[in-house]
Amino acid sequence: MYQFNWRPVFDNFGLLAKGLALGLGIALLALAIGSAIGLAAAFCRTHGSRPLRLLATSYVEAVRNIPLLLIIYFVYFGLPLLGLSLLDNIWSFIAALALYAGAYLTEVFRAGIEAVGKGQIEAARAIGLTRLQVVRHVTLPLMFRISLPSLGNTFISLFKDTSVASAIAVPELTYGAIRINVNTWRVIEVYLVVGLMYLSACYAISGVLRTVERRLRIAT
Amino acid sequence: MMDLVLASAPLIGRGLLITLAVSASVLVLGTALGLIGGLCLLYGTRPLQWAARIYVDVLRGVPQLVLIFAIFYGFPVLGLQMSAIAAGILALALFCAAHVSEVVRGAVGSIPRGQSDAARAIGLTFRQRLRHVILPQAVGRFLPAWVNTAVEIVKSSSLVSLVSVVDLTMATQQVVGRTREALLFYAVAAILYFVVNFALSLASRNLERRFSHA
Amino acid sequence: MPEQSLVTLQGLAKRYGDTPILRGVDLEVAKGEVVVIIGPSGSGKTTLLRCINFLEDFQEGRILVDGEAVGYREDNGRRLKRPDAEVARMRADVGMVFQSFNLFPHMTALQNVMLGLTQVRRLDPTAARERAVSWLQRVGLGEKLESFPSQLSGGQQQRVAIARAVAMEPKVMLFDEATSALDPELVGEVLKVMADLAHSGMTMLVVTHEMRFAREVAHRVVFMDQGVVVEQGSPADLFGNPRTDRLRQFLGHFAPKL
Repeated sequence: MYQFNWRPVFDNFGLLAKGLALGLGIALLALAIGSAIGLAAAFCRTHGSRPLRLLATSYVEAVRNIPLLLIIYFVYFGLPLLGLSLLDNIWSFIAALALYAGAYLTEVFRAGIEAVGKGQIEAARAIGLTRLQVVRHVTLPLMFRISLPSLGNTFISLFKDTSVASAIAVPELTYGAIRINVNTWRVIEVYLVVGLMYLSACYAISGVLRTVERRLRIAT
Repeated sequence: MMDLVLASAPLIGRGLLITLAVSASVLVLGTALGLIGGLCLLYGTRPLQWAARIYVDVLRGVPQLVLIFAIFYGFPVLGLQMSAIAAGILALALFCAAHVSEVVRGAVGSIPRGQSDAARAIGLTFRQRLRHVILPQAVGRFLPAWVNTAVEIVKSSSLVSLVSVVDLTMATQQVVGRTREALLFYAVAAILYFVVNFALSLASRNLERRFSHA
Repeated sequence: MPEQSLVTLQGLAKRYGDTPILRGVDLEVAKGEVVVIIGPSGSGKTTLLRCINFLEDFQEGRILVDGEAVGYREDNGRRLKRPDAEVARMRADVGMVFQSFNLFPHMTALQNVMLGLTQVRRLDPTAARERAVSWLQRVGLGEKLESFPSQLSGGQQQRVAIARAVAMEPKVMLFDEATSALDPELVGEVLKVMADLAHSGMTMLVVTHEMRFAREVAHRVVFMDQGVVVEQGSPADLFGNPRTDRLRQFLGHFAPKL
């Protein structure tokens, strides 16, 4: 019978907690930067000229079909070899994750833009708003409201993806687990606790998201 | 440059084969388990439904890499010897099963209630309803979502490189490390992954057309 | 009287959660009778029909189809749900036509009609095909045997649905607002099929808003409101001499059509 020994885990809990916080922070940052990229690309796909549409679509299709790990390696190892690098491992990872997120978010925002009813846009134009004003006052706010659930789910996905950052020694939660194991080899205990931490974090985030969605829907 | 590519081709080629082998194994195992899981979610007794639900929720809340590490490092500690590639396949298959269970549930759940009403009304038993009315319609809805899962699995297979399995990603890293030709070989890897996943999507669109009753 | 009844409902009561839908319904339908059920939405008419072939369960009361209890068995005073196989057998003898047709989209019209014949009535494929073809011809769709539901109009789909139900040679046919989802110009062709069926002696329970159909084809009209039977009688009696205020109010909405 396996003898459980939880002490090493709890002695190092600070390490794990910090890793969790870092993971959440990275995911949030990647979501923000990725949203900027995604928004731009989404508008390219819906309102842009042909070359812009092609560019955006290529970006989306390319990134969505290759592994995150490959992108991370390219940014962290590949760019320096090409002479471009000032990024440490954490920022390399954030850049890679943002690039990855951007492709998915492009589709989220594109669906959101297309979901904004034609009727509402026509009504806005009918009272004399310019195209830019329509985008600013009608399309964007409605699109955000529609996209919110998907944005939330993307955030949870990105948070789970931060575990891959351990490959380039970013001190998030999974890396913390690896470090404790290397020193104590209490593998079962560590991964049970770490697994539980990821699970609880995802559950908590889902709960918050659902509450926010409910609140906003009432406001509508 | 061409001779550089040719020299590295065997290594990259082997890596690609490993990636394909791992992905295929995961998909076969994971889909089989996922079909069972989906049926449990839909038609199981209370405890079975409950167990399936917990399984799906847990496996979707934990990162795949953590699962791979837990099995690869954990099993030997419990006395079960496991190769890296087997651990990777097992972990990803468990993850895949959770996804496929949800896909199955969604596919059957999206069939309008009126279909099972009509099937009941002409006197078909549960098994007959499943066989003649529900499953034929579920297949068409199941396939596109399953292919999405398959594409995710091909991408996730790159994680086994982190337990030292020499798949396409690891092979690419090794080649780049040796030749310093980053742009070239990362591009090659990206193209290879893209081609595999694109082929999957094409196959899906084909199958979808075969099974759709528009 | 009870011996002659094909369908008997005694004290039927059903709740959905805390909401009562049927509050004690008694009804008898004799063999060969055509009973039309009318009433405002929410009166429980559809639920009543769905209880008869046990697509809905019920908390109180009994339903008998040709003497056999539907859905539950009595065992020393305890109510037990009957097993799926027994319920399926009973359903084979009760035909149902739905408001939304519910044809199987992955099968042709012919295959839709044949499914029950081969799988439930256990006919061999040739006999099943013969019967299916004959019924599809009777509803006027002899040319559409190999068409898929998506290729048929609403009226055609509903006629296939009727053929599918009738081909099983049920003891009683239930029609749940069979024409309510149809465009007005397609309603007539379906009502004609239903009228033909009535004249051929089929026992029918029809929930509908088509008052002219009720007047011309029904032997008896039943008015339901809020989960109970309020009035029933011959069409002439019910439409000509409504006795309760509720019925008079309800009929007021249809005055021009009568």
